[in-house]
Formats: sequence, C-alpha cells, structure tokens
Amino acid sequence: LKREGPGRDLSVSISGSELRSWTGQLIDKGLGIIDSLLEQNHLTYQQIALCLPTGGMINMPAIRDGLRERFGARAPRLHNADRIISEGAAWIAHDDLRLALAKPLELLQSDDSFAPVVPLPFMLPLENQSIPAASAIYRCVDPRPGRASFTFARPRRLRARDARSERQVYATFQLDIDETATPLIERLELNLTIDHDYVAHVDLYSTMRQHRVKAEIFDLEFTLAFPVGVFPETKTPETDHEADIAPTAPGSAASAAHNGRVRLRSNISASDSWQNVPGDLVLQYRPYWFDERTRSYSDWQKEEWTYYKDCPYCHRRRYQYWTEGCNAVRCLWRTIYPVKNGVRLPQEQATRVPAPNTSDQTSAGATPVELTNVKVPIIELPKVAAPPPAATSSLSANELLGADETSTVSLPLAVTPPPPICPNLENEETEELDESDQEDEEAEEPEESDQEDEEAEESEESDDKTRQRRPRKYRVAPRTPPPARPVDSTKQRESSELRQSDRAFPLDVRLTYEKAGFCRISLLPRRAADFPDDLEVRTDYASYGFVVLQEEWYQDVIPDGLGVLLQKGIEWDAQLPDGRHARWSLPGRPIYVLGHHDMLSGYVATQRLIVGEDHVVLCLHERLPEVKEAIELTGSPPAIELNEANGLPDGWTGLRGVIPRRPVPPSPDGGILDVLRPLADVKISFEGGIRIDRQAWLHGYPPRIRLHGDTSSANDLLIDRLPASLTPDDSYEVDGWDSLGEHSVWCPSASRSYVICDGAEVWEVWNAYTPSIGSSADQRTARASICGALVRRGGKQTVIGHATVVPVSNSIILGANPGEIEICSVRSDLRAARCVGFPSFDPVWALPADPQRSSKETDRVLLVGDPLPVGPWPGGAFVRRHSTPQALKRVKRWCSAIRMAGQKGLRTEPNESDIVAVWQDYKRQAKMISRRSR
Amino acid sequence: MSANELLVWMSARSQGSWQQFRAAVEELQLAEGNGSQETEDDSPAMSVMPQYQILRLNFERLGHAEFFAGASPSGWRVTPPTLAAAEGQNGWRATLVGARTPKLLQRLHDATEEYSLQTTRFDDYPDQIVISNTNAEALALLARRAGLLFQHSAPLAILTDLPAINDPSLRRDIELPIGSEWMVERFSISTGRWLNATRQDAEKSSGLFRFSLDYRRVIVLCSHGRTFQLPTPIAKYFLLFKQRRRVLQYNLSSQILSIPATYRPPLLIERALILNAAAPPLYETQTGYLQYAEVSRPVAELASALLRQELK
Repeated sequence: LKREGPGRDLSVSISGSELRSWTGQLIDKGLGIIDSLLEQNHLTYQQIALCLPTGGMINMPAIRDGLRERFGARAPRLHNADRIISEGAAWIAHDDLRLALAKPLELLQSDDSFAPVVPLPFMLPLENQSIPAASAIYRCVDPRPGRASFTFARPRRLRARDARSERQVYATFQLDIDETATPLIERLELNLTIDHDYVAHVDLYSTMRQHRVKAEIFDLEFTLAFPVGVFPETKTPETDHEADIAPTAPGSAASAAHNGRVRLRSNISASDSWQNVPGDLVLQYRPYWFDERTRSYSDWQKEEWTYYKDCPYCHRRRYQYWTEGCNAVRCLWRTIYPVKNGVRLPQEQATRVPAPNTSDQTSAGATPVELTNVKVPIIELPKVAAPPPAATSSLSANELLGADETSTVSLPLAVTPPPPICPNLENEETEELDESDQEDEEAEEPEESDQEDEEAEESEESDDKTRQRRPRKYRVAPRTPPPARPVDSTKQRESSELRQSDRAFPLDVRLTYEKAGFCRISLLPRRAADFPDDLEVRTDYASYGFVVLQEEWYQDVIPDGLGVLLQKGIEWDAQLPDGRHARWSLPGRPIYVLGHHDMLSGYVATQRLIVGEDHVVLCLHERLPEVKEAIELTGSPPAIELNEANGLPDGWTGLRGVIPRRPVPPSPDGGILDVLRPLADVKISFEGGIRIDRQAWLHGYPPRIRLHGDTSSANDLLIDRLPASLTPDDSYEVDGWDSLGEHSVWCPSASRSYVICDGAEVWEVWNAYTPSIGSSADQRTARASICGALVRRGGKQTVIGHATVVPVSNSIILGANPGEIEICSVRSDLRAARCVGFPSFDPVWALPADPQRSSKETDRVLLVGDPLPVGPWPGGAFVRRHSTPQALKRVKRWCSAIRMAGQKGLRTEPNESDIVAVWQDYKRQAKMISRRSR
Repeated sequence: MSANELLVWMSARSQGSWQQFRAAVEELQLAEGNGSQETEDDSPAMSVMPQYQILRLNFERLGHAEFFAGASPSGWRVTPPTLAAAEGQNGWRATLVGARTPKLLQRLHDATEEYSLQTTRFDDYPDQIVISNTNAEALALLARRAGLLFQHSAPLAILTDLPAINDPSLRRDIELPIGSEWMVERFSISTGRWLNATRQDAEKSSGLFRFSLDYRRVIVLCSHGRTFQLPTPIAKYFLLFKQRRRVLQYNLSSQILSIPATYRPPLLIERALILNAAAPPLYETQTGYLQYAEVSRPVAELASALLRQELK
C-alpha cells in the first residue's frame, strides 16, 4: 500500500452474498459466544433487557441481523455505535471513574453459606498500589481432619443478596491446623491484599499449628465504580427469584449434593458459635448440647447427630441395615424402615407404612402421622466410619433408643398411632389424653411437647395472656411413642416461634434430709443461662422470689399448700426483664420417684425407678398399698415410711430406701404405676471425684465408674477399649483409667467419656481487702492490703513489701544491705504494743525509733530475721555516681540508726555471742560507710 | 465428701462465680455439718444457715478464699498458698492457708520431715494443717522449700492494719429504705436479738435497725438523726461501744478469748484470732459463747482495742 502508482489502490467488488459466505463462519462463531454466555448463565434472550452493539463491525448486516434475530428491538442500532467505546472511555477519563470489584469476594462457611470477605464496594488499586482488602480471624468447627478448608468464591449473578445462591468458586486452600484442639479454639488468620494487577494475595496462618499458606486468586471481576445513585438498587425479578430458589441452585454449595457430585464441606467459621460444630462432634465437648431444655442446637446439627448414630440394640449403622438387613426384633432401623413382604421399604415409603406391631399396640387401621418432639434419651455411641445414605427424616422411640432419663432430647418421629378407642372421641377424649401426655413430656423436659398441644396452649394464652394456666396432669413417659395427630407445618412453625418466646421450664421436686430424721420437700425451678439472677414470680395466691442457686437452677422454693400442688400440678408464669415470658410447670401426679442427681444434693424427681439405685418414693396416702405392691415386685428391700411428722407435705407418704433389684415390664395401659417399674436398661454413671468441668475430673480425684440399671444385660464394660474389672465398691477400673487424658467407657447399650486433667497450680496475690483508717481514708491511702493470711503494703505503692510486725518500741526495721531501712508507722488511735512495717527487703534488726532517748537497761536491738552479714558496699564514689539522692539518703539513715544504737550501747536480743558478733560487724560497717560517704 | 474436697475443687478452678460455688457444694453433696451455732443472723426468721453459706463463711474466716472481695463482682477466688505464722505459748505455729492441691500437699509433706506437722479435722472446715517450730525463721525456710508464701506474725499483721470499729472510714451515709412493705427490726443489746420496730423508730431514735424485704436486707445504724450503713458485726460492736458494754472475756492463763455468738467479731478480726489459735472457735452451747483458744495476749489486746472493748 505504500507504493505509488496504480497498484496503490486495490479495488475489488464483493457481493453481499460473497462476503456473507466468507465471514459467515466467523459471524456465527461470534454470535455463538453470545448464546453460550447466556446458556452458561441460564438466561434466555427474553431475559436480556438491552443488547448494545458497539464497534464498526456492527454495521455488517449479517451481525445486525443475527442480533435482531435474538433480541429484536432490544438490540437498537445506534448512530455512534462504532465509536461509543472510545466515547465512553473519554467520559470515564473525564469523570475520573475508578475500577471497583464487581462482585464480593466470599468465603464458604461451615453452615454452607457464603460470607463476604471483601464486601462491596471495594475500589481496586491504582498503578503500583496494593490494598489490604481483608483481615479476619476464623475458627475451625471440626479440627479432626487436621486441615481447615478455605473456599473463596464469588456470586455468579450480580447483586446476589442471599448467602446460598449460585457461586463461582475461585479456589480452595487447605491450611494445616491442630487436629487435637477443641473446636473453635485455634485462631486461623486470614489476610488478603489486592494488587494493581487485580490479583488477590491470600495469606492464611494457623496460630497453633503455625502453618502458613500463601496463594493468589487471579480472575477477579471488576467494574466501573459509578457514583452512588446512578443505579438505584431495584429489586429485579431475577434477584427475587434467586432468593427463592437459592438453596437448590445448580452449582451452589447446597445443590452439589443433589447432583451427586462430591463437594467440599467447609469447616471454618467466622463466629465462635457451637451451632457450627458438627453434630456428631459437638457432644464430645457439650454433652448436653441436644438437651431440649436449652434448645441451642441447630437443625442440621441434630440431623447430623442422628445420622451418625447406630441402633443401640443391634449396633448396626443405618447403612448396614439398609444393605445387610437385621433380624433383631427391637432394631431401631426396622422401625424406621419396616420390612414388608420381605422387602425393606425406602425411606419415603417407610413413613407411610404402619410400624410393626409392638407390645399391645396394633397398627391395623392406623393413620400414618408425623409426630415431632417425642422425648428420647441421649446415647453416646461409638463413631461410625462410613456415612450411610442420607435419610431425610428419622424415627425413634424412647424405648428403642435405651434410657438415660437425666438427659433427653427431642427427635422427629414418624409413628403409627394405635387406633382410636372410638372415632367420635378422637377429637375429644383422645385429644385430651394426648395433650396431657405431651404436657407431661414438656413438664419433665421443657420444650418437649406435642406441637399441637403447644399450639393450643399458645393460642389459649394469646387469647388471654393474663389467665392462669391450668396445671398439668402427669402421665408416665411412654415406652412406645404416644399417638399424635397430623399437624400443619405452618402452624408448627408459628408454634415454634411462639415457643421461643414463651418457654416452659420444669420445677424439679427435691427431698433433702435434715437433722433428727426430718426431711424437706422443695421445688427447684430450672433456669436458662440468659435468665436473671433474681426473679419474681407471681401467682394468683402468692409471689415467689427466685434467687439463683447455680447456673441451671434457682434456689429451692417451698410454697404453701405444697401437698395439694404436688397432686394438682403447678403452672407459674413470670415476665423476664427483657419482656419475654417464662413458665414453670409441674404436672400433678399421685406418685413421685426421687433419685440421686449428678449435680444436686438430696433426691431429685426422676422419671422412674432404676435398678440398683437408691430412691425415695412419694405417694398420696391412698395410693400407698398399690405403691408398696409395685415396689415389692422390683425385689427392693422393705422401705422405711416417712410421713408428715418427718416433714412431708400433708397427704403424702414417703418410702425411703427403695432399691429395685430387677426390671419389671410396664403395664399395657401405661398407668402412673409404671414409674415404679424399672426398665431393663443400663446407664453408665460417673460418681464422686472432683469434677472441674463438664466432663473433666481433677487428676487424683477421678470419678467412680458404675453401671446402673439392669446390669445383667450389660455384658462387658470397656474402659479405653480394655475390659474393665469390678472393684469391691461396685465401680469399674482398668489400668490407667485415672491417668491424665481422655477416657472412654463403653458397654453394649451405652457409652460415655471423661477427661482427667490437672487444675490450676498458680495463684496470684491480689488486693482483697484494703482497709483504710481515718475519715478521709480511701483505697489510695490504704496502709495495707490483705489477701488470705498475707498482708502487704497497700495503696498505690509500687514496691511490694510483706508485713513485718515489731514492738512499738522498736519501730525501725533494718536489712542487711546499706540503705535497707523501713520506719513503721505507729497508730495513734490504738494503744497497741505492736506496729507493722512493710520492708521490701529481708528484715534483720528492729531498732528503737530514737536510740539516743532509749534506755540502755530496757531497750534492745531486736533480731527479727536471719542474722545476715552486712551486704557489699561498692564505695562512696561509685555509689554517689550511680545512686539517686533518695538512695543515698537511705544509706545515711541506715548508718545513722546503727551508729546511734551502737553509741548508746544497746544490747541485742537474743544476746548470744554469734548474734552480738554480727551486730558488731554492722556497727563497724556503718561507721566505715559513713566515713567513706562524706 | 468434706470441705477438703471443696477446697481442692476451688484450688483447681482458682476462681469462679457464686453460682459455681453453690453448684459445687450441691454436687459434692457435702454432708450437713453441725453448724448449730451458725444462725443466719441477718434473716428475720433466724433460721439455720444453709450449708453453702456456712462453708463460704468458714473458708473466708480461715483465709482460704475470698468471696466478693476484689475477686470478681460476684464470685470467689482462692488465695495463694501461704504459711501463716503466729507465736504461741510453746513457740511458733504456721497454719497452711489458701489453695491446696495434692501436689502442693505432697511438697509440703516432703519439706516437713523434720518438723512437727499436725492435721486436725473440724466440722465444715477444711483440715487445719499446722506446723510447729520454736523458730519462725525455720518456718519461713520451710515455706520457701515447699514453694509457699510466708506471713510472719500473721494475726498481728492483720490486726495492726485494721481500723477500729468506730473508725469513720467504716461508715457510709445511707437513706432509710423507702416503702411500707419493708419489715423493720431493731437490735436489742440486752437480749442480743432483733425485735420488731417501725420505720418511725428508725427515724426518731438511735440504734441499729434492720430492714428486710424478701431476700434483701439493709442494716442501718441510726445515730442523732443520721443514718449509716456498715457491716452488721461492726455495727453491733459500735452499739456496744456507745453503751459501754463489755462482752469480751479473756482468760490469760488459759489464753481463751470468749465472745458471745451474737457478737461474733468482724471477718478479718476473726481471721486473725483463728490464725492465732490455728483452730476455729469452739461453740459452747450452754453459754452461747464462741471460744477462741490459744489467743496470745498481744493478739487479744489488739483485737479488743479494735473492737473498742476492754478485756474482762
């Protein structure tokens, strides 16, 4: 083209069809990129509001047609389309617009949500800049793998508001952590900077393991940072839709599992909430975590916990049962996944099929129902290695999971109710029964009640908040799940919300023995951690001041007419200072079983008798014969009767020393006497020792490991996987069971763990008491500070001196080194013969305050410490150069005091020759120092 | 279980809340001790004190732990293990005060082979571990060897630094509790009991008044139209001082200081007396007196001077 002449101009005529044929492939490829981009983002042409073609090529009819074909009028033809980019660049330069991060940089959390690490807006750095974008501390909720996973991602869509919508993962980094640490303990530091190339530099550091990971993230998305207000945030149908469909969006964290893909589960959390710790792990550190009374677990935690459990009877995992089957009659999984015609039904069908016949119940004609919150005990079982297939719902029953009535939780159950006695009564009598059943459950363990009952109660309360609740009637905790009615899930949710604000707590009945054969029955109101220390509870007849007893209970209350209340039941209501309502409930019943409690002294109400344990049974006078008869069936030794004369409430009799020897089958009707029929189960109990934390005992004071219940079915008991031997005091031991560290106890139907650890071995002195003397005295002028038996110098003195008591006549205390002198202050308000000084040195002598006026006959130089020789004296010139004026002054006073006492010729006490020799040396040294100091 | 286990538990924990202490008393199932001399003097019903209160006061009196005293707003803290030396008739005695662990006790036993170590058990108190020697410096050396702190002349050191019961620093101006629902009682020196009174009595006359409402109690000293708040034992001795009543009895030969249980000395004075005797007081059920044994004359004189009492 540079050459001159005719060849300079090249003129070739090309028809449109020719051009189209030559470029058609390229055009199709370009338009195909649009198609694939939309497909990649799951968008249709119709969802594009505007397609703005730019650049000179847009004038090609084929391209124009291709865009029009896709977007129609939403791809307008602009008159300046060929230069709009350059015009835009000019405007950007003119407005001095900066580039910013287009989407937040996020981190996958342990709860499967994404939390922004670098939130928007975030201005990207200019040339040669590097901006710290984030600095945060995370914690690992599950340190067992020894690695924490940091998955960085960004939302696929702009302005995605929810934490679970679809994400584009940048990278996942593994940081080595301390696998032996408690969850949430080790701090994991994250520092993130973005440089001018828009590369994010990630710096991860585990503070205990001290492992560091440095990595880079390259493909950050950026955009122009328009002035605020240019694009008001409008809610688009897309973003609305996102919020709704987020949890199952393809490619999201949540959806990966549905797609069958393996997905990394994050084990880090920015918050130190135990709700993020895996359900099967949390129990190792929080044994009462799934206790419904506190209801602090998250739903997925419980789901995970139940998922990893195995059947307490056949010990098969869910997956094993599913693949191998089980012939055990009481197998938990058989109940959940019943066998019909020799085929195990899948989960979804299982919930629709009547449960197998158990005891006296029949499933004929039964309606499948969903029952929630039926009480089941916590059983800590060995971990399972392989995760069985997920089950979306679970079913269990009290009797199937074994027994530990001190700790109960609620699990969702699907059970088949027995047929109603009379269909017409189902909504009346049966309902009444159900309600009382559930009320019992709730009263025993708060928040464990049928949703519908709760709901009914809530609605009742909402009708009349001020109305006193009807006391509940007690029913024995059933050995099979009680019948329930289908409940509307919306109502369930509402009820649950209501329940959060209005919690029912039990009133535990306690019996304590007092002197001279007396006993005392009291009620212990249970307490939540966030409840105030003091609370006033008013009823129609009285008000009670609840004063905190310990973290989980208020102090005992002994209401008037306790006998009637125990029989009829109690419903107390109080408003908490933060406006919430709290309820305390005791279901009325004619019989109470009281047993030993891990954390309370005396005897505390329990669900039923336990084989081998000592109990007190309270019953109404009229029930005494049948109670005695029922107790006799358990093989218990004859019990000692207690009555009103012993301090029991009117109308009640007590039976002391009830120790059942054998289990008794429950009655078919589930009557109240079932509480006197112990189950054939086993409970591992840690007794005695000195417990310094939830599961930790002090080294040297381990717990005694005992089995309670029907120990004949317990077979072998393993401690730290070794067969334990029974000691004469009926506890189990193996070698090293009481050594430092974590230990596990296992028997076929139960398992527990405990830790032996050291306690504190260092205790600091503090100013416990700083007595002051005089009207203007305050802590700053305090003479002394007292802590236990220690007395030290008080006030804001920087020098700590321990109290040295000397006679008032000898109020000058000297140490061995020149300058060590302390003058005790003598109290003028007391005629005391002693005074106290706080020397910061080891005292040696106590001299008269004014030796020249002292009596040679009566006054002495007292030896008040070890007769230490005079310390080294470096010399006057050295001291003058290196000492403060105050120090020099003290040296002079030290010398002066000794010399004056010496000149007076005071004798030492004791006046033994070696002591006298030491004193003579002090006099000589004082004289020499005085001379050299001049 | 005994108070020893409770002290070991407290030492292992080092410090804690009041609720934790009560929970430990519950959990350790500490047997109800005699405690008959322990009446909740401040309660309207004069009921017998609950076990956790008895234990708390006993731990405080011996100096094993401090409750609500600079430890934490509502808690307790174990004091560092200390040998508190006091001079007695037959030489020096050092009482082990403060934290106690199996390791610490083992160290102490190892270090005291040539010393006389005596362990005495008392109801509702941890065992008193006392080491005797004629020389206080030997005890100090022993403390160093066992890794303990040492307080020379502990009773005198404590007493010498306490204000007398009429010291103005102990009194704090206070308004009388407002409201008719408060139960008002007045302390009678002659009977040593709280007698029913009215708010008008408190407003118009001088004396010691107790206002009770539920579990709240306010002790008010009314004097010449002014009202002060001060600890109950100090207030009682202040009344005795004003009325020139003497209640302290000291037997020089037996070195027993006897004090009516109603007029139990303030905490730190009692701590000094107990450290001097190396044993808690004995309650004489017939006379209603607390007897502090082996109280040396200087300690008895100083205690009586602080209580503004003259020794009988």
